[in-house]
Amino acid sequence: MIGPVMAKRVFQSAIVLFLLVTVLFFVSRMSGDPVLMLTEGAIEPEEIDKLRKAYGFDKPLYIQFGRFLSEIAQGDFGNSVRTFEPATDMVKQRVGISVKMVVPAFLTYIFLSIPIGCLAAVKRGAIGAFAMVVSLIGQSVPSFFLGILYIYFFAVTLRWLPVFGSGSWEHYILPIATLCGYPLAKYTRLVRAQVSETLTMEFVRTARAKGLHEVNVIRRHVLRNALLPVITTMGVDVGTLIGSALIVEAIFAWPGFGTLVVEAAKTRDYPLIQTCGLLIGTLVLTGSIIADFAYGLIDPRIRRGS
Amino acid sequence: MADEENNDSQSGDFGASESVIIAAQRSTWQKIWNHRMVMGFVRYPPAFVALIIATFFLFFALFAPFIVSWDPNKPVLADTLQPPEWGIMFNSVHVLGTDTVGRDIFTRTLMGGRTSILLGFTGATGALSIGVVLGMIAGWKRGIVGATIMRWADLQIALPLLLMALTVAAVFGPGLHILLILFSLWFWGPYARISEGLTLSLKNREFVEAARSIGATPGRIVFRHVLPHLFSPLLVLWSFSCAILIIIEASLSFLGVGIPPPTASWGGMLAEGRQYLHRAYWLAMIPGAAISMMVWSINTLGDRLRDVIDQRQYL
Repeated sequence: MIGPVMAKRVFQSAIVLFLLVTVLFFVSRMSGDPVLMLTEGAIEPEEIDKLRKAYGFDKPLYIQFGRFLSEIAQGDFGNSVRTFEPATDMVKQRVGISVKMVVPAFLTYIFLSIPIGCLAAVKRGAIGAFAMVVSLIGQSVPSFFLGILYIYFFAVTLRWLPVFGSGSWEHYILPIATLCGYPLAKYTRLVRAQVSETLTMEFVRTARAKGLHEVNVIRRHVLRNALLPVITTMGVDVGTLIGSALIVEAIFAWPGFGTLVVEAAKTRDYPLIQTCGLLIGTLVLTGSIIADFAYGLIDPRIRRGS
Repeated sequence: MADEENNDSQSGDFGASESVIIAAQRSTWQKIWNHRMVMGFVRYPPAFVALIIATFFLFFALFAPFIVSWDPNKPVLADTLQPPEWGIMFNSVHVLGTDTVGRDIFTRTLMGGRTSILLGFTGATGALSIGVVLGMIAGWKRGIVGATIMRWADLQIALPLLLMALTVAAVFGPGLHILLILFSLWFWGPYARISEGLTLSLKNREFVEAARSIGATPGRIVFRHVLPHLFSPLLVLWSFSCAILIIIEASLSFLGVGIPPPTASWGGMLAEGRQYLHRAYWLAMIPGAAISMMVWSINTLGDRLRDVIDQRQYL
């Protein structure tokens, strides 16, 4: 039963991706003539006409759009207007750098939030309350301020860790800890809410009644049910993760994908930012499809379509 | 309370009607005090603190320009990088210090809060209006109309607001009005999703059937009969999205593509303060603390609101 459902999801995502391409194209044309925007009026009128012809901006908008689509289909995302390098090459190079920070952070908060959330749900009392207060504060401190707090305490005051640069493992600690802050707090709260709700279910009482050890009750019966919404949220949150990575890279001067996006926005390099936008959209949509798929794998009710 | 009322009404003929009125008034206050909303907020300590903080910031967001004694944007080069100091004359002292060009941090924090909070609140309200209308249409109509609306809502997940704002900043350049329009146009997805789902489930209920049977038009049914049921979940979502928008505005200003300087904004102040952490910690700590407190109080109020309303009854 999972086949048709997934096919529908993939089809819907393809439509969304097409909408994204359309929006990116028209937004970049909305500010008027791209040639005027890029040159900022610093060249002769004849030159402007020449450039317009060269880039195809003299054609009607729908022809430009068609050309844009066919170029994308061929894998040509245009060149950066500042460095004249192909946008795809620049993106590829920078994504590699970001992955080194995002993947460890992702693993860290997944593997920390599930046990902490469980613990907070099972041990109501002081531990649970403490975990909840800390996580609500953690959810309220924006990542750019959290990063600055870390820098102030661990690098400026205590001088334990380096702030900028790369090389040793120590350079990774502060960025990863900053990137983890918000999702760790959010998922801890989510896991706790889900687990404490699942604990009230009938099947938990049955599992306990048949003499299962509490650890096994949690691991085999509670977690399997409680984690389903967590997985869905994770899929949807790929975009948020990319967004926070972008800010963390800006704080720690990490030359990754996020820094590239911000540079492109500041220098108004719109072919580059279109490419980045498309990549982000594809990643987010893929993330939510994978989450749906994982959901189906974990939950036999969905797998069997009942 | 009941005893008191009896005593009042039995206290003789003279002035009896007056004391009944007083008793009635008193019981009205009692009712308000015992109302679950008030109980939920005032009698739960974190929510009470959050309410005070949020009210404080909201008050200054609205009235800061009439209260502050320093010019938030005018450099005073004689007063650069002064540490926070508490004096007797509140007005003549930089309570929270000054920044690199001698502007008062307290004033700039209040004015920055004004920008962030008003932008967050108006943006969230704009998004709510668009999202509710589109969501109810999608839930009511289904078919191609509903699918189209919901795909546009999905689009906002595919390219999250922060990244869309960067794209738009790349094309139009940074600016307050652009942010406000963008916040409304690129953040209605969650509202539409909730409204669509609820409209869909309410559509087949008896009261809708009843309204239809007396000849109400679809527009009237949706706005007069379905919309009131959406109120609570939307209010909860609205409060959380205010916090998200405040963070997004601060993030954009932090990255240098939000509110253009010299206008004060929390994110911009943090970005500036980051370079002076070793010499003047207050430059970054104060706006950072302000935004964290504001976001914490909105989140706490939103959480509490959700618990008090218990939106499960609608889902």
